This record gives sequence, C-alpha cells and structure tokens, in this order.
Amino acid sequence: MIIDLFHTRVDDLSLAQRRECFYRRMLAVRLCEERLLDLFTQGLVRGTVHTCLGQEACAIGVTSALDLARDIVCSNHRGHGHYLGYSGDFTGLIAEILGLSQGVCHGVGGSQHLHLRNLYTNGILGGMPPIAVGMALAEKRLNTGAVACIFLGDGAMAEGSCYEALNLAALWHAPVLFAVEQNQYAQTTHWSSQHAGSLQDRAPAFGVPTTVIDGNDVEAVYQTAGRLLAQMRTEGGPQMLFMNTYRLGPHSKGDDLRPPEEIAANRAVEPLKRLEDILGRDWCAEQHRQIATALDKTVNMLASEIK
Amino acid sequence: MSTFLQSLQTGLSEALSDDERVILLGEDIVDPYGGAFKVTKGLSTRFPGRVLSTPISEAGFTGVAAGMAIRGLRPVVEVMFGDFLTLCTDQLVNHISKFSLMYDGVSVPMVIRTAMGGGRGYGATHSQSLEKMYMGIPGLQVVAASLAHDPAALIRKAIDDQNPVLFIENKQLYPQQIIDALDREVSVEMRLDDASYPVAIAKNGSFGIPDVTIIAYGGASRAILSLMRRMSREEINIKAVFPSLLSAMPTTIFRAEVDASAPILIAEEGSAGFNWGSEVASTLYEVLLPALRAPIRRLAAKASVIPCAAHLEDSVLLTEEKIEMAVLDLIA
Amino acid sequence: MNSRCVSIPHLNANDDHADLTRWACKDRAHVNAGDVIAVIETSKATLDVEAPVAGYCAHLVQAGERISVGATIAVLLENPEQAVSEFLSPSVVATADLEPSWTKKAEITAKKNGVDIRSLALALARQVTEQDVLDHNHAARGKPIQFADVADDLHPANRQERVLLIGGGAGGGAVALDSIFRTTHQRAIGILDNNPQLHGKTQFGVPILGGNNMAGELWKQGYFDAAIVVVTASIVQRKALFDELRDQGIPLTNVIDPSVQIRANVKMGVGNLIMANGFFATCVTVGDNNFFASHACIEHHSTVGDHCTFGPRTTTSGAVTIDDQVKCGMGVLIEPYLKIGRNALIPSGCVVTAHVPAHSVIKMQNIQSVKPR
Repeated sequence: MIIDLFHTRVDDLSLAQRRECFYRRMLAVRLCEERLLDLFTQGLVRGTVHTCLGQEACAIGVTSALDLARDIVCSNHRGHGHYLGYSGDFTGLIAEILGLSQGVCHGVGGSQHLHLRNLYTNGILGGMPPIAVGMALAEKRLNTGAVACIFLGDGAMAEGSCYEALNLAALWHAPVLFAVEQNQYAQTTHWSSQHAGSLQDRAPAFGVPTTVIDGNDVEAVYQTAGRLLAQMRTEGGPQMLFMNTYRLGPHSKGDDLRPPEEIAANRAVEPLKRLEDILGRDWCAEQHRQIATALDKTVNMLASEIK
Repeated sequence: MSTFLQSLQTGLSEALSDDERVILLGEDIVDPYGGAFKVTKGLSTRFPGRVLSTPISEAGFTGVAAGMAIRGLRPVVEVMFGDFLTLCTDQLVNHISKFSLMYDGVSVPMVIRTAMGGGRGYGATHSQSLEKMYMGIPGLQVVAASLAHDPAALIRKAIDDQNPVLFIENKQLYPQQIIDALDREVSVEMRLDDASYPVAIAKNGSFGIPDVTIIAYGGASRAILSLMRRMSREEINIKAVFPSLLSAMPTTIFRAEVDASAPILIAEEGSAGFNWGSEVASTLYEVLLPALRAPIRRLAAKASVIPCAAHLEDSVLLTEEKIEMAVLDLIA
Repeated sequence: MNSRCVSIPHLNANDDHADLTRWACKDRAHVNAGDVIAVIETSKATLDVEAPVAGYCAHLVQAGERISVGATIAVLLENPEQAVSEFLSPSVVATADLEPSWTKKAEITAKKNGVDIRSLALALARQVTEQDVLDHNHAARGKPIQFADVADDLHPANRQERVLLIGGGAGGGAVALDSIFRTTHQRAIGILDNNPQLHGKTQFGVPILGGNNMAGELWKQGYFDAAIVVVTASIVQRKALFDELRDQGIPLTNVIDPSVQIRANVKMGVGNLIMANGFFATCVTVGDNNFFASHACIEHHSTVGDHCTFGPRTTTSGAVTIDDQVKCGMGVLIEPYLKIGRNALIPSGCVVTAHVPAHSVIKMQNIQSVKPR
C-alpha cells in the first residue's frame, strides 16, 4: 500500500490531489524515521541512524520531480528520505538497517551505504559530489538523457571536494542538480560557526546558478526542482537548489543539545504541519492511522526476525 | 626495441582506439605539452574529446572519474606525481575500492596512473614511492610495470580490468629500454599469477639454482637488471622475480620459482618498514620454511625525507651499489 | 681525446646511448670537414654526425650497434694506413689484461676455500673464473678421498660406544640423553621402556624400541655395546633392572656428563648415571648403578656403595661412607667421617650430623607456613 503511494505520477495530479499525495509521502517518511529511532531504543539496530525528521519536504519534493526511470540520485549519511522518495521501498530500507539479508544491500551497507538502481549513497561527506558530476558527464556522453541529483547539507559544504565538484560541473557543463538541504546544523554545530560569508552565494562564483527556496514548502520544492531539471535537460550544465529547512531530530541517536525553544519554533513551521493547516486535522489523523498501521505491520514482521 | 615510455604511449593509444568508452583525465595531459612525462603526447590530437585536461583538483577529478566508471565509461586518470595521490585518497579508499564490495551490480572499472620514484633531484614531495600506502586496501589493485614486462600490454590489461587499478609508473624508467627477446645477457620468462597478471622471471645466465634470488617490482628493475648484466660477467647467477600485481601475493609462483636453498633479497624503492617487502617476506616464510637456510634480506630506501642534492639523495634511496653490496654479502 | 676522434654527443636528458643506423662513408675513406660520416638514432630523433676535420674515416663500430653517449665511433686518420691506436687514449684501446683479474664469484669461492686468488691470476695470466678456483682447490688437496676407507662401523678404536637406555622414556632418559649427546665417546642407540604407548616413537631422535625385556634379544643381535639404567626415582626398580642385565651378561657403562669433575685416584664401578657439574674429589670410591643428580659434591676419601640415588646438590664432606641403596633428597649435607647405613632415607635439606643406621629414615621438621605478602 505504501509503495503504491510512491509510484503515483504526481505531474498529472491537480494541486489539491498532489498536496494530499505529498502529505502522505512525507508522513510515511516521518513515521518510518520515528519507527527506526524506536527500534534503536529497543536495541535492535546495530550502529546508528541519521534521521531526516523535519526535512521530508526536501526529499519528497525533489525526488517527485525526477525522472525516476533513468535519473541518478547520490546521497549521504542522512539519506533515508531520499531513498524512500526514490524507491518507496520501506521493507528494503528497514530490513537493511536491521541487518537482515532481505535488506536492500543484504545488511552489508546499513543506514549510510545504500544502493538501488541509480541511487547511490556513501558515508563520507563531500565524497559523493565529484562522483555525481562524473556520473552526469557519463550520461551526457552516452546520450541517455539522464541527469544526476546530489543531495548535500550545510555541513558538507565545508569540505573542499564540494567546491572541486562545483568547479568541474560548471567547467565541463555537467547536468547535475546540487540539492542542498540547509538544515542549519552539522552534527552539534550551528552552521554560522562553521562558515564565513554566505553559503548560498558560493556556487554562483563557480558558475553554478543557485535558486534559494523555503525547503519546508514541498510544493515549492517540487515546482522549483522540476523547473531546474527541465532547464538542465534542454540547456545542460549544473544547477544548485538551495533549500532552507531545519533538522528536527538529533544528529543521530542521542541527546539533542540545542535550545528547546528553537526546536519548538521550528516545529511550528515544519513541512507536515504546514500542510495540516490546509488539509485539516481529521483527514491528516486518518492518514496517520492508515500509514502507521501499514508501517507497523512491516516493522513488526521484520523486527521479529531478529528477536 | 622500445622504451618504457614508448610502450605506454602505444598501450594508451591502442586502448583509446579499440574501446570508445576509454577516456583520459589529468593535469596538462593535452597536446602540445602531452603530460609532465609525455606519456599522453599526441593522444589529444588523435582522439579529440577523449583526453580531458583538468584543474588541479585531484580529489575532484578522481571522484569524477569514479562516477564515469560506475556509469559505463572506462576512465584513465593521470595523477602527475605519485606524491599527489594523497589528495585522492578518500576517493580511493572510501569510495572507489568499496562500491563493488557493497553494492550488487556496481563496478568501478577505472585506472589511476601515476609516476613514482626519485633520482632526479626533485626533492621530498616529488620523489616518493608511496604505493606501499595503497597496498592492502580491499578492493583496490596496485599494479606496477617493470623493464621486464610489456608496459603496453599491462596498461591495457589494467584498463580492461573490471575492478579499479592503481597503476604505478616510474620516472627513471620512462627513457629505459624494456628487455626484448633478443637480449643476450638477460632472459625473461613470463608466468601468470592467480589474477592473470604477469610475473616476469629474469635470469642473467643459464643455471638451475641461482646464487641469489632478488624479488622486486617496477622502478627497482632498472638497477637490478643493470646489476644482473654486470654480475653475469662476474659469474654471479642472479634470478629476479618481478611481479606486476603488487596487492596480492603470487604465492603459487613463489612456491614454484623461489628456491629455498639460495639466499633471497627483496629490494624496493619505497621507504623501509611496513612495506611490500614485509608482505613478501612473510609469504615466503610461510611457503618455504623449514627449507630456508637464512633469514630473508630486505632492502628499501631509508625512512627519511628524500633530499635534493645528488649525493644526499643517493644515500637515502635504493641504488645499484647498495643492491650489489647486499648480493655479495649474501653470497660470501 | 683529440679532435680527430668522433664520439656520440650527449643529446638530451633521457638518452644515455644511441643506435648507429648507418655509416655514410666507407671505412677509411677520405672525408672533408663537415661531411656527414654517420647517422645515429636516439629515442627522440635521427641525427647526422659530421667529420670535425678532414681525414680518412676509420670505423670503430659497426652499423646497427648500440653505443653509449661519449663513446668514440670513428677516428679521422691522417693517412689510410695509419694505426687507430695512435689517436686513442690507452683506456679506449682494447688491451690484454696486464693487471691480474678475476670474477667476483671466483673471489668469493677463493675466500671460502683459502685459495690465494692473486697468485692464481698471475699464474694463469688471464681472468680467473670460479671453475679455475675449484680446479685449483681440488688439485691442491691431492688425491681425492676414497670414502670406503673411512666407512667403518666396526673398528673398535675410533668407534663410539653404542649405549642402550633401559627404562628411559621419561625424565631419566632425557637427562641421560642430554649428557650422552655431549660426550664424544658415546652414542645413544636406543631406548627401552615398558610403556607400550611409547614404542615406535623417538626421544630427541633416539628410537624407543620396545619393553625392557628386549635387552637380551638386542644384545644377541649385537645391536649395542653397553646399557645404562635410567630409572631415577625407584631404587628397587633400578636394582632389579641392573641385576637382570647382569644376569644376561650384558655389560653396563657409566654415563657421566662431561662437566663432571673426576679427580685423581677416583675408583668407579659401572652403570652409574652422573649428571652435570658433579664433583668427585680425590680418592673417592663409587660402586655400581648409582644415580647422582646435578651438582653432586662427594668430598675426598668418601665411599658410595651400589644402587643409591642422590637428588641435586647432595654434598658430603671428607671420608663419608654411604652404603648400598641409600636415597637422598635435594641439598643434603653430610658431615665428615659419618656412616650412612644401607637402605637409609635422608630427606631434602637435611644436615646429617650423626651416623645413620641401616634401614632408617631421618625425620626432619622444617616448619613453614605460607601467608600473603
């Protein structure tokens, strides 16, 4: 049931229908991440998980705009939302994190190392951007019409390799979408303690046009990403989509040391809440019930294989 | 009768010609300059659009090449000096070597070629032999051509390999003649190791058990082959074993070709300690004890920076003289 | 090098030799200054070599040869009959070896065999090879050995005594073997032991052939020269084995570690097993079939009977008499002139200050208690 939700083509839907679809998708990601944290507390998850709570609009908005049949997605340690948006494969992801053989990488990769079809993640910040550029260049050479999308965060934008990637992407006109999730924190450090100057003004200096949007508005993310991707497909060359958002959960699993007032303030404007105001509390609660039921069934089935 | 450099040029040219997926990337590799050591000279002219000149972004362009390889091209990256490999190390260790081990159906068929070695007075950061740092990384193959191999065939084999290869060249080898079949002083036979990479067995005469067996690779072959020629006039029978694949021990070939009753010397250009010779010696002890008569001797460069001035450089690096002294000492 | 010599120039950083592709003039033909006389090829280019002066161009190398940079390839003679050597420095002209010379291998082999390679080289008046050294070595030693002359296992004068160990698959056997290995006149030929699990095995490479009762059979076969009882704990067993061997007419031998000091006028029986660092002072008498562990010290004029066993560091002072089948522990000290009767038992660490009657045991109180430190 959940997978079907992710296989719907949203381009053909009306704005209202699409809004509902996006809400359900984001909700499914949100609930899955919460279940994973829960499984961790139960001691069933080996290692750690980096959840994308609060950033669901970035993942769903962008992946919904991609041509999932051929486009390439590269992501990082906080990639569950990107993976689910790309594949709808909740079973494969949860099983992978539980270390089961039916996991998408048979338990070898775990949370940070995922691969399915044209999606690749890895756990080294700044490692994937140059690879994404290379992938895009290969697709261009082989004339497949595919483009690459690389998700990165404000934290990764302190790695030099990101700027090497931007430079090479612009120099060689690579069709890469740099999808930056400015979630304001790199682990426990606020971005302003890590970066001098402006983050969003950097890519243009390398010749990569940047569009800055509210990353918590899923429709805006979807529309903007779609526009940039279309431009890339006709004109070629890289684009940066700079999405302002906020990480609601802790970096991985552990104490959140940020000021509670700050978290509460951001919770008030997080992507699901924004849509709830439009879609109505009752309808949203019903989606919550349905999706939670379906998800819990999967989670319990997989978790029982461990106990 | 060709030089090491000419052979590499031929190999790359044939690879570009035969396989349209092959693409070259590196700093200053386009014509008319044709690369710091001229290995790519002429190629950008003959194969337009297939030879890309990169900015000075080793991590960046190595990662780009990895992405290209994953998506179906066959990139060959040139890192100008082996000393600069450190800048690509994250890509090599955490990405390129791991993807095929973690992800079903993903392979990274790329070659990173680089020039190692001193002896030209370039100083501490342009003279090293750092390949030892990249051996023992699961999923990464390290290959080096010697004067006893056919560099053209070896680079083509590396390019055709479905798995990533770090291909080690040597600055001082480029102008040297590779051994041909008509050489009267040194004879070479080829064996294939378990991964089908060639191991060259060189002898400076016709004999059964040698006076000493030398095990080495790549750049060290220059001094060793020169020594072998001189020593054949001195009736000292030397058998040299030159593997090309360094990151896996050719145990079967060691067992067949290394005689336990003759002294064994391992000579390498990298710095002493925690190196290729350590692994070779361990393997030989496993394979040849208790028949070994004496401990295996290892020679390497001093564990120090490589100085610029010639006499200082010679005191640190592996030289023909030092190898000769070790050989004579082992036989005495 | 004068201006009439033509050599390969140093052309680029990469090449240290060049190929002579072809001569452009015949050997000893006349050329003018500036004429091309040869064509050479490097890894980078093909070049013409010009005559520096007019003359008759004598070829020193052949077309197709590979020549080192700096080597001379031609000399421009003043007339076509001139000798080339007039223009070349002595090092260039091939000379017969006036200096004695040899290969490095020959030198190493000569050193190993004590051959004076310099004289050999002068005598041969050519480069000495390894084979020359070996031939010379062989010749210097005269007639080669006829191996049959020295393969003689039966000649008594220079053959080692073949010793059979009885009761020896355990500790006693080990110490006896250890000492026999260190003597030059004895060789351990086999071990007998009543533990059947040891038969067919070896101890220190010496085979355990079978039970103690095999001794007679082996003696009939001439397998050994003498036996030694290596049981060290039980006096009863030691005596029984000894008597049995004696009854079969089997000779017994002493096994004495070479580090033991036997002083002047010591009389000793047979079948004694004496371990390292023992000291038997002047005028001591020892009977048969005794076992002395290491560091025994038997002072002058003392007497020891038969079938006794002594633990390490047994010490007697002068003129002590020890009768048969006495057992001493470790570190026993016996004061002078005392008599230790037959079958007495003296415990470790005891200082004997009075005569010990036969069949008696000294009870000693050595009060100890063990506490944590």
